[in-house]
Amino acid sequence: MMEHFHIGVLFILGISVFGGILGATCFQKARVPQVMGYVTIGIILGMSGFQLINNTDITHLQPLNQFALGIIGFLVGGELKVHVFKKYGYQFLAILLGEGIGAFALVGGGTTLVIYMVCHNWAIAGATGVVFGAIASATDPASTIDVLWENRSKGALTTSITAIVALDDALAMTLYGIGTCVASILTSNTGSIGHELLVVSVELFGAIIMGGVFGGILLALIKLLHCKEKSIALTLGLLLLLISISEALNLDVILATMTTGFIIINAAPRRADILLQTIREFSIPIYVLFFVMVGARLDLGAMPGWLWVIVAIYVLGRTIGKVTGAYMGASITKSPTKVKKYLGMGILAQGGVAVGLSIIAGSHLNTIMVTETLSVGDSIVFAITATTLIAQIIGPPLTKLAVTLANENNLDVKEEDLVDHLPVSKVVDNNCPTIMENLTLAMALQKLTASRYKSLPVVSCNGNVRGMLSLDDMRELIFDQDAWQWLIVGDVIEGINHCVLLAAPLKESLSKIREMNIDCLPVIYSNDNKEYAGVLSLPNITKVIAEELVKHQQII
Amino acid sequence: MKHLEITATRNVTIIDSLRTVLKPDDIFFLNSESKRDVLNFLIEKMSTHRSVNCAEQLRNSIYEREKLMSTGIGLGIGVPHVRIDSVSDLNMVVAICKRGLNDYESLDSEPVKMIFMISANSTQHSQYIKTLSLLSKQVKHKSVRDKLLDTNDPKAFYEILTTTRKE
Repeated sequence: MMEHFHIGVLFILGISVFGGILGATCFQKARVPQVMGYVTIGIILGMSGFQLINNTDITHLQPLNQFALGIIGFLVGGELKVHVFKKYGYQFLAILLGEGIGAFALVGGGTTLVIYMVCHNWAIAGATGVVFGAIASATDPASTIDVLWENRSKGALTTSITAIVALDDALAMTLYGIGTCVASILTSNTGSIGHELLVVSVELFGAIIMGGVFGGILLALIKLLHCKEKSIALTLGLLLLLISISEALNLDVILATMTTGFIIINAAPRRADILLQTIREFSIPIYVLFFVMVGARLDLGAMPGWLWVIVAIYVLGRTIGKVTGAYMGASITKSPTKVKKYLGMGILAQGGVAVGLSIIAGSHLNTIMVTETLSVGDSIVFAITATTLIAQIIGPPLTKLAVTLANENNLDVKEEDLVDHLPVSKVVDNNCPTIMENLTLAMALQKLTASRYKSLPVVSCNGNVRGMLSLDDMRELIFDQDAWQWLIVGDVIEGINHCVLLAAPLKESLSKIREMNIDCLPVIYSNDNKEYAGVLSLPNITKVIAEELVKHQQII
Repeated sequence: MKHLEITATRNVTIIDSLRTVLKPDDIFFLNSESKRDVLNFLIEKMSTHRSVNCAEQLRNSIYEREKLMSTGIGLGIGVPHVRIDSVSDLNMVVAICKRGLNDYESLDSEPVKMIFMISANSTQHSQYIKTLSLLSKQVKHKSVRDKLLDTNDPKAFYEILTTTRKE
């Protein structure tokens, strides 16, 4: 039986990740954010589709969900730099309150009315509405940040979106804490707001303190360890410890890991950058699994008609609340125009946090019945899963649209991106002197020693490349300088075994140079036209890439 | 003592290298006074070697090399040489023209009396350069050149050329 269990879970993990990536690839080709592909595959594999993933599997994989949330929080924290907050602190606070409370108010009010029409009980309706409203204020950092990374966006809007999605978890948790407390009081007349607020405060501040402690430990370790592999392993180990301890103490996992990420990026930016980039790459299967599970848990067939009305009101109210609230907050603090116009559009995604909160609410409120067959807890779980799906359909594409309209796409360019996309023609060095093949070695040596290049291209009388000449080619004759007077360059070079095409991708050509351990290669126009077109040299590549990076920075 | 040992080691290598590429049968005494005739003769002789697979390419390459710069290196020596794909191994053939070839256009404008034609495969870069260098070192000494021009016997010529010269 244990054997069957292991095989089952492995199969689910495998098909989820494999299927999720395939789905994401298809969606990407249709220019839709990849997170949509993950969720869609989840629907196909899960309760609404082939049921290869059932509720038991989803429950067993809950620890992986927590791991994913923790990683997401850590990476989001790694995007928050202090100097940005110093510059934009007030703006962020105003926008956060505007969009969070806006969504809370509209969704809470709307869903309260619909639930009342179903159950005719203000207490139950109010309790459910408050919880819906609180969850609605959250924005999914994972899919939003994923879109920003995918589009390599950079700028004021991108920074604002990153900060808001990172911070509104704290707001959502606070509103949720108040919301569930109000729900408990309304439905059972027990408990107090003060106590519940205290509980929420402990959850949030405790998470920050715990994250801070682990951040300090991680910082000390990455400064001591210079081995990349060990740093990554340590980081993952520490994050797992932090997540498990936070869960055990009922602290907010995302906030704890976010604090850890925040500390290392601000205290050791360079090392943290490399570490975060590697963790990001490592986490891809975890993300995929996480979003596949979001889709898998949705059971479309089990939802009554009125719940779909709740879903519609939730989506509309949340959208209007966030867009107008963000606009008002940005206007009050005189944020840049593109932030005012597009920020609300960029923060509509909903995912892990909302689903996580709904699962918690589901367990707390499953004894309170809306109808004879459906509890408050279950209605929240169903509705939030459905709204999450819709929010993931509209949210990430709207985030992409927002940064596109704000002209912030493809500005977060790194050196590797340029190497991946530039052709040789953009980095070819035309300043390298050439040597004619019929030059004597004596004269060639003078030219070689006078230039800054370790080797020089050799060309024929009709301009075709013959090869490269370096001092190494002449080492056999180093003691026979008489021969330098009558031997010509063409006699000693090894021929055009290696050269680069002008239109070739830089990445391949750069690998060739590095493998051969040389500093330059001759460039020709094509295999049919071997005319000299310059050299591809490491120093020039470095110079051109540095210039391109500076240009991109200036655009931002 | 150590210096002599090192020198002795280098001379053993030198002897082996020239003796590997040249045989007494490949040494010819000619009466010609035309560079073109001598080169054609040597090309024809070299083409009979097993390692030369295309006489046409050999001919074209020899003359192309001459166009780039005359292989008359001075002191009465000519060293026409090529590296091409249709030759599979190092080859050398020698012509001695005691009347001298005035049309060789050598570096010192002196008539060329000894022509050492060398061919190798395109990949034999190192052996090719070594052979050229070795030849150059041997024939740059007047005493060696005088001895080579004094003889009319290919075997004697061969022995003089491939015998180490004490430094």
